Order: sequence, then structure tokens, then C-alpha cells
Amino acid sequence: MVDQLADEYAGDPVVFIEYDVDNPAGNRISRWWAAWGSGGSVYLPLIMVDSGDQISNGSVAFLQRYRNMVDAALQRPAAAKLEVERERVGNSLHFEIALTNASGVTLGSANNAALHVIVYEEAHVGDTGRWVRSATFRSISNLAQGETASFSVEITPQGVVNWDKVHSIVLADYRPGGASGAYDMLQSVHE
Amino acid sequence: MTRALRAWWLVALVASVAGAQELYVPAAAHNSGAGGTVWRTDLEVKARGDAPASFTVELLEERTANSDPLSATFSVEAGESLRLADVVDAVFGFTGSGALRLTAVQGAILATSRTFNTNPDGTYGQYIPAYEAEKAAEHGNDYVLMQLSSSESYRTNVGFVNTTDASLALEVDLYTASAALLGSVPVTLRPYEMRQVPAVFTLVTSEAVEDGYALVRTSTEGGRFFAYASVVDNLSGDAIFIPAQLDGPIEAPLAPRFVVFEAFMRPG
Repeated sequence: MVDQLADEYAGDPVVFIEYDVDNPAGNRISRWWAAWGSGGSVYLPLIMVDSGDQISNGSVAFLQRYRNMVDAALQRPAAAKLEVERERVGNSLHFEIALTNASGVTLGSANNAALHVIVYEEAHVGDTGRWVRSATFRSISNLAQGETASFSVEITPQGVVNWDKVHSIVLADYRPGGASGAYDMLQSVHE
Repeated sequence: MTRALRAWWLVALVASVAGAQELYVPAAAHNSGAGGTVWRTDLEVKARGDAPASFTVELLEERTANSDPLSATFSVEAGESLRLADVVDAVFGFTGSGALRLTAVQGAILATSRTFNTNPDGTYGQYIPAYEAEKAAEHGNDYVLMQLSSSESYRTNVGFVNTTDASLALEVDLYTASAALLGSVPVTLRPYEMRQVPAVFTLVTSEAVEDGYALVRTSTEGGRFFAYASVVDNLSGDAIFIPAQLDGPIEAPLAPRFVVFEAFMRPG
């Protein structure tokens, strides 16, 4: 059903990606759990939009529920500016990233702000046609409103079959509540 | 309203309206000015929408730390507006200048004001808006006051209101229209202090300035303030109110958010 949504939203600024829940790349799944909190029972699939601003789990009216999540997210303004240059070097991807903070708060360790690089391949490995090969992140340190920070990130995605179908997502997120509560995505760039 | 009466009122107010709508009228007066001018302020408040409103008006006296300002409360019925003529004297019994802070206690309000020079032949007035507190100027930006003049015909007064509970340091750079810096005037404001600097160009030059502007900024981290200029015709006493505007390039709008939908699943 996620592939059906990907087709429906092909012309919109949204990307659908899939992780192996038992061996998820990077630390993205921590955002889901931060939004969940504790207690209760959790069932697959675990779904997350905007780093946990919205989550879902288990059996729901999938299409309608997920459409609602995506539609709501599309209405939200960005809270950062990202400029990304990507270069493939052998079996690695090198990223030069400029992040400008437009969130209205200082981004840093106090709100766990981070920059994530996610690499996925258009490959039907799991249930969908977009399988995350690798992900990594960098902490954002003391970036005041309106200021820009630069990052260099190199990542070597694992198990790539066809480099022509490899894509990347660079996103910045933070935890508005500081030490607790859900994360929120500031902005992302998809190539 | 007496300070004692105001004290209990404010205690109750602070407990009940944290985050309430707050408006600033940067300048109001009941006093005499240069050139024989006599200044008065009328304040108009309307209940917003179709609901009644009640609100406080506080007088932030000029050249005073206003942590405990004079205050009065009023109500307006739904759809109605209220004019407080010569508000500084009639409501507060005060002679002098200051700013007004309006806080909605119930409902929401709109406000306007007119500060005018009165004489036997009539009045010359300047409209002074009521600004939402969150519109106050911020640290990190330059704000411009433009269309200023200083000559035999006109004088320029500039004024400031500190909207924070901490001291605020301001720098006022004065320029000619051709961008020649004439000089700088430092201004330090105590908490919630209002200050007007009369004939500001005469502090930095003895020459006439037919057309000039001022750049205002604060060096205080977290500082917030309102700034304005009042350019007064020296012959008639007619004045215009000039609010500070954010200077600097227009920032390009942010690109739309690119949404990331992430699914954690078990293959098969």
C-alpha cells in the first residue's frame, strides 16, 4: 500500500522509504520511539512522518490514515534551508551540506538537533520499492536562528545493486521539547 | 487609579492572563512641547469580533523603569468601541509622556491612538498605531526610521520602548539621505522604559538635515523594543509618526517542506 501512495504522490514533495525494522539503518527509528513514549503495545508497521511529528503503528485503515498524515505534513512550512551537493566517489557518496536555521530557536545539544543522511535504492527488497541501504547522522552544535552551518558527510551504502537507482535524503530535525517528546523535521532535500 | 488598587489587580491579572494579547502604543502624552505645542492623546479600543472584551491599560512613564506601572481596567461590549480621551491625564492623572501597554483580560481587542497638538484654532494630530508585542524589533536586525528632517522648519524626535524586563542598550546611527553617517547616539533603557530623544539630529550635527534617516539596533541579546520617529513642523506644530521598519535584504522564502514518510517493516 505504501507503493500505491508513492504513485499517488509522485508529483508532490514527499518521499516514501522503507527500513528493516529488525536491523534499521542509522538512528532514524529512535525518532519513532521518541514520539511513541512508553507503555502500551506496538505493532508493525511503524510509520513516521517528519521525524515523528506524526506516527502510526499496527493495523489501521492504511491508505486513508497515511494519506491524512502526508497531507497534513505537506501543509506545514519548512523551518530550515538546506543546500546539498552530492558526489559519488567509488562506492561512496560524499555530501557537502549547508544548513540555515529558520526554526526560531537555537539548534544544538539542548534539543538534540541533528542532520541525517539517508541513502536508499529503488529496489524491491522488502515490501516496497524503496529500500534504505544506509543512514548516518551528525549532531548540530549551537546554530542560532538565521545562521548557517556547513557539514561534510561521507557514506558508503551497503548492498547497492544498481547505482543508477540510488537516491539520497538529507534532513535536519530536532526535539522541540528538549529532553523529551517527539522530534520534528525542519526540512529535507531529496535527490 | 491608585497604585494600591492597581497592585492587587495586577496580581490577579498575572495569575490569569499569562500569554494574553498585549499591545503597545509607543507614545502618548499629556504635556507641553517645544515651540509652544500642547500634546494630548486619545486612545480608542474596540472589542474584536462578536465577543465582549475587557482589558488593562498601563502607563509606561517616560524615563522610568516600569516594572510596576500605573494601570486601569475597562470593558467593552461586543461590537462596541471605547474612546479614552486625553488618556494620560484622564485615566492616570499624569502629566508627561510615556507609552501605553494594553492587555486583553477577556476576549481580544483592537486599538488605535491619536496624539495631537492642540491650540485655539484646532488640532494637528498624528496617528500612532497599537502594535502586537510580538512585532517588537529584535536583537540581530537593523531597523530604519526614514523621512526625517532637522532644520528651521522641522525637528525630529525619536522614541523607544523597551518591551522586556531587562535593561536594553540601543545604538542610533544618524545618516543623511545620501548615506553619510553624521554620528551615533547611544540609548540605554531600563525594564519597560519609554524614552523620547528630542531633536535628535542636533546631538550629532549643527547643520540642517533636509532629508535623513536613522538606523536603530540593540546590542542586548534577547532585547526587544519599539522605535519611532515624530517629525514636527516647527511652524505649525503638525507632526507625523514614523514607525521603525526592518532594514536589510528581503529574505527569499523557504522552499516548501519536503516530506519524508518512513516505514519500519519486517520483510515478507
